[in-house]
Amino acid sequence: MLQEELKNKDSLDGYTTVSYDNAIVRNFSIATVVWGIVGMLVGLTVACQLVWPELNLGLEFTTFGRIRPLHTNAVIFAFVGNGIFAGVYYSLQRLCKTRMYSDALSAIHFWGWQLIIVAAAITLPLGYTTSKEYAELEWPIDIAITLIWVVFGWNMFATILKRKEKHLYVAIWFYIGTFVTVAVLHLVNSFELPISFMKSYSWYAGVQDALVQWWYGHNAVAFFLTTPYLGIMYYFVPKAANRPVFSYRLSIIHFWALIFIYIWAGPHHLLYTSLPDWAQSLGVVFSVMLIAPSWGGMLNGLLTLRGAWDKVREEPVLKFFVVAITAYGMATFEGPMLSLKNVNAIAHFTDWIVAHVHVGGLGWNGFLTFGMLYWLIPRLYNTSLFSKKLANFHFWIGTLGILFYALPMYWAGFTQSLMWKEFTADGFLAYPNFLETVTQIKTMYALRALGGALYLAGVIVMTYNLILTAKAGSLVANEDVKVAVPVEHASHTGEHWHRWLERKPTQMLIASLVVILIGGLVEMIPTFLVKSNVPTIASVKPYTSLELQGRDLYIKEGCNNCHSQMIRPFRSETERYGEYSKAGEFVYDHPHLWGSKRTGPDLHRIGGKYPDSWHYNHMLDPESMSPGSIMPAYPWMFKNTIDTTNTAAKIAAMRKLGVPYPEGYEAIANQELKKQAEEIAANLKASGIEVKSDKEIIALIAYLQRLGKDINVTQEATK
Amino acid sequence: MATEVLEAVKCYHCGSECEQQVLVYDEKSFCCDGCKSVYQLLSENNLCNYYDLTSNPGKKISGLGNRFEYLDDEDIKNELIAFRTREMSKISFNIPDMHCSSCIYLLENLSRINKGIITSTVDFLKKEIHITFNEQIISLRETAELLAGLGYLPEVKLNRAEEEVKKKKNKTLLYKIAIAGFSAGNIMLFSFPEYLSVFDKVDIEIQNFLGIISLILALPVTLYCASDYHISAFKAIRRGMLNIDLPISFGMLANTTKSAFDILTFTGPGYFDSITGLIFFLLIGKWFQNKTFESLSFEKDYKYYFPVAVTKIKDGQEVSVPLKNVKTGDTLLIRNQELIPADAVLLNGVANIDYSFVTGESVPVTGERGTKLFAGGRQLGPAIEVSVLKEVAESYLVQLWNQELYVKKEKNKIKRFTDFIGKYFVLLVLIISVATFVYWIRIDTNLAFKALTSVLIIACPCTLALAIPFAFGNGLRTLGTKGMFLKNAEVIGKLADADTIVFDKTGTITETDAADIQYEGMEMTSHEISLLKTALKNSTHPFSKLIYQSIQGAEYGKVESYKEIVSAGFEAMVENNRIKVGSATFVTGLPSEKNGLTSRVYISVNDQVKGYYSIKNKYREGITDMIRSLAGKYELHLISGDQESEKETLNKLFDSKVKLNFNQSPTDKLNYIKSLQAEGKKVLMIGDGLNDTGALKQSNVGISVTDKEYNFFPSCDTIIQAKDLYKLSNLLKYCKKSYWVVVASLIISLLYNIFAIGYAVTALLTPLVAAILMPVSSIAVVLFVVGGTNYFRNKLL
Amino acid sequence: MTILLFLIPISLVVALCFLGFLLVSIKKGQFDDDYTPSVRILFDDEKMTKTNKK
Repeated sequence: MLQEELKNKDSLDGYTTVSYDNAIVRNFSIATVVWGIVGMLVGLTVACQLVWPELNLGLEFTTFGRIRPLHTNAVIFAFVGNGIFAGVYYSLQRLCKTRMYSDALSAIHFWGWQLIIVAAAITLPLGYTTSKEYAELEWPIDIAITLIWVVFGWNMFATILKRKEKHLYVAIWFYIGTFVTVAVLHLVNSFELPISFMKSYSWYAGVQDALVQWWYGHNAVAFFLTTPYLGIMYYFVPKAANRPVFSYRLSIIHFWALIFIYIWAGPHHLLYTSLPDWAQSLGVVFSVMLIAPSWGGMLNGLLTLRGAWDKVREEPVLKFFVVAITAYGMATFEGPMLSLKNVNAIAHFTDWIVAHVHVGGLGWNGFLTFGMLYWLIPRLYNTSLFSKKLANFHFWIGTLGILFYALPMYWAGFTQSLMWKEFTADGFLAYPNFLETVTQIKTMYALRALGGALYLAGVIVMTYNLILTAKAGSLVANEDVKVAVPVEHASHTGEHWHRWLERKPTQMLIASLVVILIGGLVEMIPTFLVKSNVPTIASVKPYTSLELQGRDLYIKEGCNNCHSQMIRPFRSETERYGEYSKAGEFVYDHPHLWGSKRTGPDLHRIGGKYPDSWHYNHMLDPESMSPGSIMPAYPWMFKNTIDTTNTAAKIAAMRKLGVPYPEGYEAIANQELKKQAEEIAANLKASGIEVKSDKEIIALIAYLQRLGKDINVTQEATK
Repeated sequence: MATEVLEAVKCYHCGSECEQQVLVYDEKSFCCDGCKSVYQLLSENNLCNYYDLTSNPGKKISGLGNRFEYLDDEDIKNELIAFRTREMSKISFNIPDMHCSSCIYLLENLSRINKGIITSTVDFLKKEIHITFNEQIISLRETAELLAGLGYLPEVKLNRAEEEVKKKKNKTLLYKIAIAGFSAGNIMLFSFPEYLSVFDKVDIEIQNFLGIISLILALPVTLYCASDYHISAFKAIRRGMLNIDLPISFGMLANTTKSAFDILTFTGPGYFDSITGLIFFLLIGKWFQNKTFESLSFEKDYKYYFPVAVTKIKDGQEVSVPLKNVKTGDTLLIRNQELIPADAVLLNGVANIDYSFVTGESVPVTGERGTKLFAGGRQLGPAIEVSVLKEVAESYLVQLWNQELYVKKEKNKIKRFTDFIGKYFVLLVLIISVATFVYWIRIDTNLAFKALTSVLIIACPCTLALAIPFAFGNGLRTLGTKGMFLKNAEVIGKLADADTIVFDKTGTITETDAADIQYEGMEMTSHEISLLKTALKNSTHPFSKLIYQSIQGAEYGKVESYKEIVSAGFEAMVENNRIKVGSATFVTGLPSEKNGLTSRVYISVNDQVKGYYSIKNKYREGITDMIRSLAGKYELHLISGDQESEKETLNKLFDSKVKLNFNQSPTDKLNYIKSLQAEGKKVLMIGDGLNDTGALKQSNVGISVTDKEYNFFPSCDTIIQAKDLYKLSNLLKYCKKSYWVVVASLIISLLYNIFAIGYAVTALLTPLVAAILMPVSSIAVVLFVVGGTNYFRNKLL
Repeated sequence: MTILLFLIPISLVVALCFLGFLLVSIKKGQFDDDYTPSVRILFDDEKMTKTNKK
């Protein structure tokens, strides 16, 4: 191989040409912009719906519960995702001084990823969801993601292997870290048992499901929104500022510290939940430890620009970078603070968290992406940016947007939390009606929507600016450059050059073996996990077939996006909702529905709190029961009939997962279902409501009325 | 090419002001052909980016380009080239002139200039370049010349092999640290539930599970990472001795076995968290130590000083042969500025040898055919031919160097102390632990084991082991920043011990080249001065150089004629004026009145004696105060190679108590030191140059003074930069203090051990607590010593 | 909390995986030079198109 490279080299007097694939970078960049606009548009819509619920246009497909996941998925996996790939494909080729390993893989990766996004954009509004945050997509799409991710990794590692530059620049380490961890996280978390095409149950139940979910959830943020962008920062910031990173040594330490600490910090999302104390404290400790590397990275990024502030003043690209890095610093400081138990007690379930993630999302990911695009597009099209003025305008309106978004949300978060926890002198809740705490912050929601609108406006300006830039130039689809031929990647410890080439693949083999090993674990362990799901509370029983159907409707409509099912052991919560949640109560919850945000009240003890009629009317027209409510109406649940065709399958699946349904329950499942439905219908009739017993609403009511009652069964039995 | 004179035009390449001339090439001006040709080369290979990255990045091409013929010699190639196949060879050079990103750019793009270069990689901080080249296309020599031609004069480094070995060792340590750190971190993580003791029955299986993981993680640490301790302990045992590594290793192993036992029997969580943590700290300590030594390389032998190869005249042909192949009887060609590699006799040419490295005297020795020349001298002026008398290895200089008696035997206090610990303390600990075990075994096996491990863990004297490297490592670094470089940490102890200081005169308390120059005689016109300056320019004699530097004035173009009379002076015709410069006899004709104080150089213009320049040695700045401040505390001696010329001045300088000795041959110096030591004195020798090597080595601790860091050092314990010599007394004080800090810390940890052991034998102390206490105490000690030494640094330096 | 029996090994395997990467790259001398690479990336590759050889 070296031989002909040498020949090649002679023919070119000491050179090999390398032709960088810019087309793929261009494609990913376009995708980034397009999906960015889509995702933010959806975001803006859901933001508005929190002020004017009727904005769902009465359609089930555009209702908050269904399109909020669409927003999160679109901005994280479509906008940021494509941004990552654009950045990686551009920088990796240049850092390795070689073209991407295979154009075919690149293409498959690109189109595959877009397809996945489209699939998500279709299935989520249709209500196909696993209800697991940031992993809502159903199992066929999960598989697709896995495959495409492997394609990406294959392409990346092969490129790294054939690189013509011995040293792996730190950015590449961040890319590698991203690939490996995301792969593992996705595999572990998406472990689910399909019961039909587009419907599955999580292998894990209750607390365990929650832990896996947030181990994933946290690390998704860590390794999808952070590490790849740090890699991008370490490449594009020095390039744009044309000065080496402040301390390269620090950047290396930064990477290894992050890699070794991040993975453990997950549990801080479950403080005061039914998770064991020590696991919670562990999450806290590691989250706090994370400040060190994160700030190391931030300072390293900012100090890179030291002495270049004059440049920053007139170069919009650098402006975006500065704000992005600052936002990263703020978010990575706030995160650990939020994971302190006492802070978390206030912030959890409120809009504070929403503010926190958006500082990260809009500031760090958004602005870094914009800066990168402003720097990248002119180079891809071999021209200069169409208008710096517009770029600066984008910068200012974007920054304004972030402020208008974050500040009201922080305010809303504090206010609501304080109201939840406020007691009167006589020891009663000051705001017993949850709705009061919502109406109080409606204006903030409106302001937040404004902030979002400003931010989106900026993005549209950018799009215009970039389009005209592209028009002005012509795409350099393949950028031909001269590079010296590599001879050995081995360090100068006098090691033989081809030994290296032999060894690196073996490393890769080992790495892939490890991944396979993980796969193995994934298949074996759940089986014995199931055994361990012995209920610790005797009175907790599996859901009846009707309740189970109701639960799946609850999931389908994404109720868990606004309603938690986790009452924390605070007086303010037990007063408001009832007995705090016990781990033992969730052993049959595949998946768990703890939720992470209380736009509406917690529902874990809703069962038996109101008559069926109340729920019926409330679902038909929330305002009728609680005036001023921002919950949308669900008229379609009154038309659609329960799909009983899959009841048996669902029961079977649940038993497989260890839920102790009596033998042959599948057979009678639907009769049982009908029986219970009839009872509810009759019950409603009694309160003057005529309704066919086969409507979805019946199932939902059944589920809601069952929620959180099992631990009281004993008392009820006695009376 | 146009040549015009402008004032203060900056050279586009090197940025220096173009004095004489300005060469213009593509609208860019250059100060010399060197710079211009480099520019041309770069522009042809369109590497002009070089100039865009930083302005005027270049280096003026020095006229005297070193000769690289010897790089054609096979043996040398084999020695230098790290890896070699037919179409690919790897070589590394030092490039001291590398200074900016442009340099990196250019040096890494050599392949553009010559396609024989396959790749070139730069390590900027180490100022190294690693080149892979194709010997079919470009030879090693051409490669070196290419670099030199670009203004990056490469330094050839021999003894690569040794360096590699060192690197490997450092890396192994890094692995160990990485693994230990990783395991320690994770094990602590897994012990978290234990710390919080929040396990209820449900989680017991997890506890056991975590225990097993800890075990798996800990074994590589206790076995691999700590292997050095086990090995050294094992060796000690085999030699039937005890050293402080023994209890450490024994403690670790006992600890490991116990923990493993607990975990495997599900009787307890073990305490791998603290043991791995401890090993991690120990390794960090080691690393800290190594880092501080890396900075300087000592124990250089004459090979570093001598050229790699010399030019041999073989049947009329000049051939370059590696030094080690020089045989007796060979005829060598020694050019201007080249070294005499072996004792030899002058065949033809005029020898004008600067022995300053050997004798410390800057005045060159001249000689005609037949004079015996000693290895280590440097020829100044026209090339000479010499015939080798002795092979390099047998030459006087090298002999002096390698003499057996130079090898030191005595040990310093610290060493003795640690040995003491090794013997008695360790023995004691072992005895106590066994005794405890035996005592408790009769009562309760479990308790006995507990007590045993507690004693071993808590008592293992790693606090003692840590205190020394940290304190002295830190001291070493501090001194380094203050211009004093110690061979190793123990030297601090020796420096602290010393009670007698012996100075060498020349080059130590006097500056080697700079000197006081006074002109006495009749005024000279600026014209005459210019004539003189022009004439002097041609002489290689150091005095001529000194005078040349000392006088201002313009110069005239060229010298019509120039002839030098050995050991007398020279005569030159400038603008039809006869200039004579030299000794009284040569210039004035009168016999020179012997005045030992200073040397005089007489000047005559057109046979009219103008006067003389008196040149006398200059004492280093602040030397007086330095000696005063030392006088009180130390017994001072002076031994000098040259005659009693400056006795008076020296007497003024040193107070009368000081014994002054002159005309000392190297061997005399050596014996002098011996005699002092015979009187039981701890001698600190301060000297420079090779002639002091013997003395420096013989003395209890030898400091060699150097003007430039890259200067050549004889093997001494310490190097001090000349400009920092005046700080000596403070530096010594600092050494004393940090020495006491260590002793204090040792006492502290001894006390700690006494109490701790006392407590541990009662079996009240759980090994877990013990294992936590130990690293805590170690860290405490480390903080104490580092803090202490830093305190004295701020106070004294 | 048996799920931990699952999550911890996996996290650990990942971590070990990276420890491996770390050791190997130390061995390969990836971190021997912790300055020059940061400068090296600033040099743009020479475009084939604009090669104006004299």
